[in-house]
Amino acid sequence: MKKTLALLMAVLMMISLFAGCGGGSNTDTKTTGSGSGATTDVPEFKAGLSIWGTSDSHGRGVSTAASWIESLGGKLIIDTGAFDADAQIASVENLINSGVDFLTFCAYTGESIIPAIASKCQEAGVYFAMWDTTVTDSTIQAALDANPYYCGTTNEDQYTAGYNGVSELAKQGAKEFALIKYAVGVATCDDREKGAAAAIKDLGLKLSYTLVAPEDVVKGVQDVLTNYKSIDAIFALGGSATYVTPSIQAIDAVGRTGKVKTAGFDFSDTMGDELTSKKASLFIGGHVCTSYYAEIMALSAWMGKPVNPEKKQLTINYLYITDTNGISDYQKYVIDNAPYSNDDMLKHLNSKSFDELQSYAAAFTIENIKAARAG
Amino acid sequence: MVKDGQNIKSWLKIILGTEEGQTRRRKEKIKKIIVRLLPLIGLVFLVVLFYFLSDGKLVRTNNLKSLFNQAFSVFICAIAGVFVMSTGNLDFSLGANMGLCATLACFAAFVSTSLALPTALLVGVAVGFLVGVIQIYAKLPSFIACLCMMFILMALAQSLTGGTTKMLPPSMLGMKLDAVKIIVLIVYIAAMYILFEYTRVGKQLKAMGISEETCIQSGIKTGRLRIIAYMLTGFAAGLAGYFTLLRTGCASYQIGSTMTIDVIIAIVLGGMAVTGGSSSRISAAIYGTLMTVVLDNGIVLSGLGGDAQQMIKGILFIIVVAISTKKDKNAVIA
Repeated sequence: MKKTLALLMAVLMMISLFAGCGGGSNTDTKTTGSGSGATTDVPEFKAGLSIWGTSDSHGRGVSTAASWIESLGGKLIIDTGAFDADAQIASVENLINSGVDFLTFCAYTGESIIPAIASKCQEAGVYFAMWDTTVTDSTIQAALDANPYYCGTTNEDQYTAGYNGVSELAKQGAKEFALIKYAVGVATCDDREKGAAAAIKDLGLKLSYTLVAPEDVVKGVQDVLTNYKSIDAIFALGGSATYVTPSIQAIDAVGRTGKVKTAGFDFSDTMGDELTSKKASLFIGGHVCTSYYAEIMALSAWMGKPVNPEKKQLTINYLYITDTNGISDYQKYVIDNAPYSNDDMLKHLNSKSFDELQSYAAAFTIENIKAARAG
Repeated sequence: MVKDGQNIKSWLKIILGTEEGQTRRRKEKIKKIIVRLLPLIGLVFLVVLFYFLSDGKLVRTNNLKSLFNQAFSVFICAIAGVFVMSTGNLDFSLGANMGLCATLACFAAFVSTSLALPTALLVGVAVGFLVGVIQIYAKLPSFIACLCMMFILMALAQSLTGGTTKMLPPSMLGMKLDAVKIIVLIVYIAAMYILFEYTRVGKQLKAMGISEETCIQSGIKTGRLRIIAYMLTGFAAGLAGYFTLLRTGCASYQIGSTMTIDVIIAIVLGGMAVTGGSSSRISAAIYGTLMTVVLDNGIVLSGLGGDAQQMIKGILFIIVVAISTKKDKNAVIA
């Protein structure tokens, strides 16, 4: 009986899956764009996104942003299996074999993985761009520059974000800081630290302690707070979910709730509650459009008119959220609805230069999106 | 009383080889064959399903090459995992051991590229030996010893790589190893099969899974057997770590982070009981590995990624296990 049921389920699933796959269009090109803006023929494309998962806030945001491009007349295949180096290579192989025309990924396990992925894409003749990734190794950069299928990378200005984070906390009254960072050698985190240190120096503040990759964050922060009684701000230079939430627990545990401010990078699922209860003061994140701009670079190269022929790094803005209004605006203007219309996307795709594309990316702020909607 | 008499009568008929007994024996034999074939049926089901869903992309040469490369390390580790699992234990340190082997092999490659493989194998076997020895001499339960070792090995690999990735020397990047890997895998499977099915070690390991106490009473040195089993998984961790290192081009403490669970899933999907014993077989690791890899690959090839990917994977796992696993109390982990 069980076997019959299982087989029945399998057959039903197969039918539903076939039904789901059967709605594809047969046209080769699509004319996109509304009456008011430019129209252009974008060939029907198949894009790939290799990501570690979509269950966390950042992964969900990045994959949502990557799917905006579908409205230009293509299909996006998301592989959520890229959770370690080996799995990331498997994920890229699977996307290539599924027939994607171009793909994007984040070298989040470290930039050393890039050469292996780059050679897979080159062998298969698949264009690729990276998001949330900065290349610091000159050998890797040289190999990428020589790869005809590489289309560039997007990332945020980590130094400025570190600087701005400290400045915002200082504006809210913080004077003595503890920083929490990933292990030494993680380029993004190192740059944020440099920015934070510069702001602390420039604004005449005090840095009392830097906690490096604590195994038990709650215990680590508790120890710091017990030994440095006058610390009034903890700035996590790594992920909020990893560092801010446990820091809040540690502050509660030592009885200094309300006296120590916390801030961190990447939006988390708990940030709403943490901002409402005033246990957190700032979240820096929302940089989800890194994946979208990486796609624009790869799509344009695939179409034969690359917007980034010099394979430069495109810098994306971070969004700074200090209250719940900021969260609802972000949800409304970035996640629930694509911040860009088809005309905007075509404008990005047809950028005459990399600098023009960079200017569009630099304008990615909630205020600008709101203004564009209102207009 | 009458019932007992009837039972004895029917057993006598079977023993004496009456027509009824022969029929029953034939039926039992057919049933046994079908049960052994069920994992293969599960695999065929997946292949056929994804062949159609992916418009035939599943069996294209390039994809078969990718499938082989994706399955290679899991094959190596799962086959060795059968030796430990046949005793009713699991090697939770396998993945972390693989990460450490890859890391140390990467460092050795900077001294001489030819040192990388021996380093990986030696480290792997040494760690396996240590895991076995700790269990026996510190009298720790298997899973405690393995878990503790897992934490130690992960911390070691993490501190050696500084928590990031370390790239291989340029001369070792982009090596074409498909032919080498095929030969290695064939030799490895053949050697492990012979060791497990036709030697005293394999038979005694299965016996340990049935009853360790009986083995001890029969004079079998179970401690030594246990060490051999963990040394084999250590060897597999070294071999898989080395080839994963060559594939990714970099060492990272994250290498092998999901290998332990991949191995368990593969073996269970392949129809082997985690309690070990006489049902243990190498083919379970082979079928199970192929099923997991085809599943991951097929979902993406069919364009069914994204949010639905994990859900589809879960549903298909249930269907495949329902079809392919023998339903008795020892068949899969409860």
